[in-house]
Amino acid sequence: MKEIDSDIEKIIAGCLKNDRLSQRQLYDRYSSELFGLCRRYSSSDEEAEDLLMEGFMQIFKNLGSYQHKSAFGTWVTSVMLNFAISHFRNSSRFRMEILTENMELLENVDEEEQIRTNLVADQLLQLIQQMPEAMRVVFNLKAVDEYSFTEIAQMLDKKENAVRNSYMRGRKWLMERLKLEKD
Amino acid sequence: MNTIKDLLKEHSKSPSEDVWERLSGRLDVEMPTGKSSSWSNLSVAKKTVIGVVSGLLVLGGVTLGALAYHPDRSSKPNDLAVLESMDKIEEVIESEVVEPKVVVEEAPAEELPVVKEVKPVVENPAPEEVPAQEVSNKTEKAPVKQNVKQEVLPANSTLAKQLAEDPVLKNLSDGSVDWSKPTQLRIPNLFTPNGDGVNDLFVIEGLDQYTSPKLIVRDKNGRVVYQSNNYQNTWGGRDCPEGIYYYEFTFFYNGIENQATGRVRIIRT
Repeated sequence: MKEIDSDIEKIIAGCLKNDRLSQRQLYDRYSSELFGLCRRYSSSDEEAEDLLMEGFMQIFKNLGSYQHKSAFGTWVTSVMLNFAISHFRNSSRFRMEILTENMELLENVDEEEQIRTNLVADQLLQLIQQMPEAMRVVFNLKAVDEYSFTEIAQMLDKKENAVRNSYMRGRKWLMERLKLEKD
Repeated sequence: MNTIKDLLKEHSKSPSEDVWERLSGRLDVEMPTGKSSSWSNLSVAKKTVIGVVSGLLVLGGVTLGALAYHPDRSSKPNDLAVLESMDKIEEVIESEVVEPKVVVEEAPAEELPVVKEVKPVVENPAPEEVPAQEVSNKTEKAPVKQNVKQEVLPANSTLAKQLAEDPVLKNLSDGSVDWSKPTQLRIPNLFTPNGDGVNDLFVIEGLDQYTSPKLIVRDKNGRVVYQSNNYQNTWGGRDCPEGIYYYEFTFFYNGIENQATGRVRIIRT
């Protein structure tokens, strides 16, 4: 996102004083992009909105710890992503899925190979939202946010094998349905 | 053809205006305008001082502890330095930190013994007014020992039509449920506190498997309308007008904390 530095600094300063107008401006500037993030991690747009709202509370609460070491947009995104991850980590449904996954290794799909589709963004997003929760979170972290399996295992406090399996399963799940969509 | 990654990185939709309204309501409660946030308002310099001094305090504490066992107190000057810096910290804290006032409305946690209403699906297969709700963004069903046939609303009833069109209530299942998984719970996305004895309460099925069940419910303005640290399926939406509410249900299972969040609609017809 393109940012004009002095603009952002004013907004941040206002937000630190709990000025509602500045907070609104910050929200307006980043809500669309962050909503996109929330949508692809969530199972519905309603859930995504709930996540977005709570995530922005975290952004406002932690604004004082922004140290200007990275671009503000990057910082905002990482707060939201971290919040989403911890939300899902604690989610009972996420936990139940990982627990019930069987651990056998699937055949080794090339994890780097890009999946392509003719679907438009919104159609694909709706499909992703239907993925089982743990599978969807892992898929996003790996295929879209491009974290390594090691990093993902740490973020989710899971064994790396379980994460790999989840990812392979997610790709398989998706590709089966993309084939169906083609017909 | 586009890659999955590129497509998923596109953001074409904006959140509804509700989101800002809820956010703004929460900010009013938790970070009121006019009072600066205590931590974020301190300048980086002061925070560094506090950080360093806190670090010294820890070291000082360790040193003092160690000294207790060593009669030769040759490091006395360090003790004094630590004590002096402790005074400084207190000064800084008193003048800079303002505790944000958090106003939380608390409905009294209703203390009731295990309520029969939790069990009707098992003991008394009475028809439920609403079909078994399996909403995609909710956690799953409860462990019930016998299969219960749940009646579905007649398709031409007003309520059924309303539910079918309601964007919040899509994905209602046809009533077939899998009771085989004991660790799952079932949270409704709707209840109807109209005094008819059916779905008058917000009942979380499977609740009794978990310890420390906590429930917080907020309205569309982000205000807490109900809160309980030991939820026993007794909330009936008292004083809550019709509409959508947002819950946070936290519980322990096998010593691990879990959370389920979502929306529930109150309909009073």
